[in-house]
Amino acid sequence: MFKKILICNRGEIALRINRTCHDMGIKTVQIYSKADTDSRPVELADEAVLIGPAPASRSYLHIPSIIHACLMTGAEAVHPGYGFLSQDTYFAEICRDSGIVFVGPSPKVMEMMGDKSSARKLMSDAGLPVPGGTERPLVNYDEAAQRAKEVGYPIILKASAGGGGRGMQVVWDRSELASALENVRNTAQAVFKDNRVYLEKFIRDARHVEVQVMGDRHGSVLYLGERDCSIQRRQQKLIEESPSTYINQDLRQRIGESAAAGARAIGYESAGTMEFLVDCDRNFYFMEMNTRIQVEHPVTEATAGVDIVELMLRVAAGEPLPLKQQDIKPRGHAVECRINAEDPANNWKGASGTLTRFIPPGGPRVRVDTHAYTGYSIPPFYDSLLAKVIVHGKDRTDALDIMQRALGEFACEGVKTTIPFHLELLAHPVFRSGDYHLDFIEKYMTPEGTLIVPQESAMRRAI
Amino acid sequence: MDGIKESGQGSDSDVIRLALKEAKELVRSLEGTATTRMLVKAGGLQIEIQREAGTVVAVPAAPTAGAARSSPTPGLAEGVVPVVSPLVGVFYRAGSPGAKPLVQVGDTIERGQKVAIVEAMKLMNDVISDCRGVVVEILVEDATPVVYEQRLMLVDSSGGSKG
Repeated sequence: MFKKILICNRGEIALRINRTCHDMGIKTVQIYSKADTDSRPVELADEAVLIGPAPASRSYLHIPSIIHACLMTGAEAVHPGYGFLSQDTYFAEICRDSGIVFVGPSPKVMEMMGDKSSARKLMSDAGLPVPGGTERPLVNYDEAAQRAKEVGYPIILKASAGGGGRGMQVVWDRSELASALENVRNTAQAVFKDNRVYLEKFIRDARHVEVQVMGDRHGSVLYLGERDCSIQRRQQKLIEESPSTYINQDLRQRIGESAAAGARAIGYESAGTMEFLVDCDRNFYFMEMNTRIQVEHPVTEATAGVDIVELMLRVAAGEPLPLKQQDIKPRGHAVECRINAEDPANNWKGASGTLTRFIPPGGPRVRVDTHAYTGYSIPPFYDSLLAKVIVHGKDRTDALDIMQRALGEFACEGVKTTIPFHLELLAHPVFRSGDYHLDFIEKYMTPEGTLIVPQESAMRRAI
Repeated sequence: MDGIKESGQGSDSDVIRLALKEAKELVRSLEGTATTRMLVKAGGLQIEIQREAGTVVAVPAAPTAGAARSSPTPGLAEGVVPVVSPLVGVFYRAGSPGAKPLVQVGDTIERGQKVAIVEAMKLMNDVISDCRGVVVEILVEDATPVVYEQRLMLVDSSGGSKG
């Protein structure tokens, strides 16, 4: 096992990785930007290296500085967390060439799965169901029109290099195709510097169900259970839970086995997430793979009883996975709420400022992952995630009740957060019923940022 | 931030080798600039270089009037300002191996003068003084790793001229 690793991230995930390292007796080096000088990860790490000014391009994304920080401190491996350089093939290659272990899959696998159209092709070849669409990027409008006609509207245009919900557009009929194609191409070029676009059948009334997989260097790939992340605004997840109450045991096993088979087909090593859409008829389709740890990983840690960061470090050090598929017996129901410093009433605008009071919840069956504290100044340079509250109940109702109790006791003052939104969501009858789709926020949220509760009669029609 | 992207065709290994040579020369020509990232793809050749706008300037952490700025090692004499490292890397006093140090204690330096090099992954980044004055102390040994904003040398800027 490694003696010392470098944590190439900030905020709650940096803190979370530090903690597992300390549990495992691994020394940590925390890199930080000037904006994060007074932060908990810096305080808790065994060593900290100031690598640059606040802007991420000169700090958390600045590869030469990060590699030097490894060499200076003698860190043997880098854990990239999520975001920043976590899915950067080039960074993974440089680490390898500098003799530093990148805690994640190989650069080759990252590259294959980082390109959405290539991932779609590979997973289709591995036997996973994918929505009808193009195998290769579209050449021009005429081809797009032809393929869209074959597949049938509505279709969705996607940037091959896209990610994080950007570079996608649903096209409902032919009249919208030309301008949508131009839009997506332009966004793709501007954001990802790659204008390749492909199309897929758009799956209506779907749920987002993703499977946590974990592979080692010895050919073993396990699935640790699924997470349902269907409450999203503009492709950003707000609440995640496991198991998904939308699928039954048979489908659960089929999705899980498909995810593991897909990962096995590409020799996947480390933690990864296979994202699927499940339609009303309970057909499932592969969407994309995230080749890193995810924000919502604690949901799976709660139900499967594992430490995903620990498993990542073990397989990165060359150890075989200490578990077999039959050892994974998910228990109870876990839910995670993302507490963001955002104002839902103001188009979810991110807020920065100082937390004048911050007392997170606690008690039985509640876990809080946060880097915040009373007096903490939220820097305006990075993402808005402030805390993750994870609860573990015996079933969905129990878990949602615990979450209501936990968020009710969460004292957070000084900036607007998503706590009030979550409290409304947890009380919402349609959300409680478990019968909703990806358009939930679109359907029930007002521009003022509150949720509409449908009347009893409308409710019966809605569900 | 600006970006240079060059594309061409070619899969022959000689072409690739040539391209890599070109790329290296390209990087060399960017010395003294804050190159943050470079990507070379061979076969359907693609070279991508990303730089911060402007050149790297080591800003002396001079106490601004009235501002309660904490500096890592306070207590410098009046008029003495540090030259700090613009990034993480290895500090070199000379512009190239075997050459004379760029500055010595006692030298008078000008604002905008190159006073040292910080190497990060074979990229040589100039350390530029932001003030005029006399070098009073070199704080870091040659060829030593340094972190961002680490003090490299002290400059006495009190000699009547403005910094």
